Amino acid sequence: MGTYAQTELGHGSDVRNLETTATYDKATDEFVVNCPTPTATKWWPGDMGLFSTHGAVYAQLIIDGKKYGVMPFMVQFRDTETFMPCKGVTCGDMGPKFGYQSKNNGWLHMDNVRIPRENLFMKFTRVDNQGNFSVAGDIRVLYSVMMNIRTQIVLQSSWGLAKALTIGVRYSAVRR
Amino acid sequence: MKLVPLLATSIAFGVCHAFTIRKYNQLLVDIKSQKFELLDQMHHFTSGFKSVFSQFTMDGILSIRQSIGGAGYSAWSGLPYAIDDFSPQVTYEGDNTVMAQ
Repeated sequence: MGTYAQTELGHGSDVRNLETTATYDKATDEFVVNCPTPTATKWWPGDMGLFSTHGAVYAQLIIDGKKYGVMPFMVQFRDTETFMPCKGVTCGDMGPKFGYQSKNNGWLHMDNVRIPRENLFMKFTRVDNQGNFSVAGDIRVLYSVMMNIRTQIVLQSSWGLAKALTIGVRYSAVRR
Repeated sequence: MKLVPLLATSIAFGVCHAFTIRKYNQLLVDIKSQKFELLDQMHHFTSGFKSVFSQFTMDGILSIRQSIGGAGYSAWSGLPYAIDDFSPQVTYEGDNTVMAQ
């Protein structure tokens, strides 16, 4: 079960200033994913509350002290057998909310969690084992996943309205 | 006559979705051949549509619930659940107030 961990406690629409970092460690060929402050805690990821084992974590890519911007990384959060959090991971449920109860939103804090270098999503941005960063194509493409969900929201707006209308119109037709 | 304009709008949203999904699928094809021109256009369409449509729908469902008296207030009508379920859409994937800017 996977999730999409972008929004942080202190940063929603301000994606560019997310605080979670992924620092390249050349010695072990790994990224170290870290939430340096409480406000860097990932906040609201869907299905993070009880059972997401993996996810796409958006973090500031840092190589040799230089920031390259926010990139997606595959991180494992929980054991796939016991569903207990992995080393360095603290996570939990977001608690009661207005609606959409079928979505088990959670929160996620990572304390220097190590992942292989290959866990950076490398279709459009690459880091080699010497720590060289390169872009294949247009870096804005990383954001196109949000366009997909927004397109779905266009459809859900139509359906949401149609569903409520079915109830309203039927009632109006029989009510005298 | 609260319901008829909403009915028309719901159909219009469906047409806009068909348009948007066609453009999005074209974008996915383009990206495979390293063409990124549609990104700009898609950003504008999806941010604008998302913000305006989801807000209109949220307000619309509330208005439908109020247009059928006590029946709409009763949970058995299904409308309170519809309001609950739709409510995150005005916030997530880009808060509507921000997206419209």
